[in-house]
Amino acid sequence: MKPSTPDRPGERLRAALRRDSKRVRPLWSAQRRALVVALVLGWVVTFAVFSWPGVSLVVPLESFPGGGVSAILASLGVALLVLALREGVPGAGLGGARSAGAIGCAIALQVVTGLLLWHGGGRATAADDGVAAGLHCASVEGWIATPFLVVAIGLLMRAFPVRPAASGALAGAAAALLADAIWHLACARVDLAHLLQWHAGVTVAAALAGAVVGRVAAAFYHRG
Amino acid sequence: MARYQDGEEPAFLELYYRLAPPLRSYLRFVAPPGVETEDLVQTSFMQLHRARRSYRRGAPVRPWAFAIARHVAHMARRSFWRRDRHERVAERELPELPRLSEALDITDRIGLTQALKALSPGGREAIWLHHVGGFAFREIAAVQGISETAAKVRAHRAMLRLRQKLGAGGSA
Repeated sequence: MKPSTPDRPGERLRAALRRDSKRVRPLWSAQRRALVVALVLGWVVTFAVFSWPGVSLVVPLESFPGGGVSAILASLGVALLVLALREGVPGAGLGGARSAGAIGCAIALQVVTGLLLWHGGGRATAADDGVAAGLHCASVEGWIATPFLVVAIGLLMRAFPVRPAASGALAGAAAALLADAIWHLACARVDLAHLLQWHAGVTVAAALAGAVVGRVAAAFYHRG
Repeated sequence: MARYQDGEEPAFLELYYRLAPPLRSYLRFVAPPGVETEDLVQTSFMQLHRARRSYRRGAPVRPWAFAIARHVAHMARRSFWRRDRHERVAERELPELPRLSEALDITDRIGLTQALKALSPGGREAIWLHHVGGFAFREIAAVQGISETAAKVRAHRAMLRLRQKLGAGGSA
C-alpha cells in the first residue's frame, strides 16, 4: 500500500470511499435474523422433506418423543444460530473458547434427549441394519442441514466475522440441530447407538464442516 | 457512526480523526515487527468501511472498531510469519545512534519493552487496552472475545508478571 500521512486517510482508503459511500442499512439483530431463518427456511424445508415420496410423520407431534424432542432440538438450533450471527459482529461475539463450550453444551443436551428417548422407548437395542439405517439418517440430515448452513454462512459474510472458524462452527452445529429437529419426526428408531452415532454425530461433523466453510468463505469475502 | 452508515463522508472523516490516533497506538503495540503501522491503520479503516453495516446503532463504537483492528493485526501477523522476513526486519530495525541524554531513557524503555515481550500476547494486549487505551474491562472483553471476568484476570496476571519482570531487571 502506498504510504500515507498519518493524520489523513490514505489514497487507497479514499478511493474505497469514493467507490462505495452509499448508505447501508444496519443489520437486524442476531435474534431477529435467526428467528426469520429458522421459521421461514424451517417451514420450507419441512414441507419439502415431508413431500418427498416415502417420507412420513412417524411420531405424534403432540407427544414428548415426537414434537417435544423436535421443539427442544429446534430451540437449541435457534440458540446456536443466534450465537453464530452475534459472532459475526465484531466486538459482540462469544469468542473461540466460549463458542466451543456452547456447541459442547448443545450436543450434550442433544445426547440427553437421546437418552430420554431411548429410556422412554423401552431401552431398545440396535437392530441388525443399524449401519445402513444410520448412514441413511446421517446423509438425509446432511442434506436437510445444507440450506440452513448456506443461509447462515451467507448472513455471516454480510457482517464481518473476526473469528470465522468459531462462527462457522456455531452455524454448522445450529444447522445440524435444526435438521435433526425436522428429521427426528420421520425417524422412528430409538436405540441409543443410532441416536448418538448418527444423529448427535452429524452435529459434531457439521460443526467441524462449518468451521472449515466459515474460514474459507471469510478468506474469500473479506480478503484484502 | 449512524451518519456514516447513512453515507455521509464527513461523518467518516470525523470517525477517522477520532479513532485513528488510538488505533495507531494500539496497532503499533500489537503489530509484528517489520510491518508498517500506518499500513495496518489504513487496512483497518478499509475493513471498518466494508463492515460498517455490521455496527449496531447505539452500541459503543470502540470495541467494534478495535475488534476489527485486532483482526487486521492478527492477519498481518500470520502473513508476516509466512513470508521471508529476515532481510526486511534487519533493514528496518537498525537503530539510529542516540544522544547521551536520550540513552538512559532508551535503556528504561528497552527494559519495559523486554518485560512486555515476556508477557502472553493476550495479557500484553489487555494491559495496553486498559492502562493506555483507557478501556473498561467490558470493552476489553468484547475486543478479545472473552468474558469480563477473564479480561480482568488476564490484565491482573499480566500486570503482576510485568512487575516481577521489571523488579527482577531492576535488582539485577
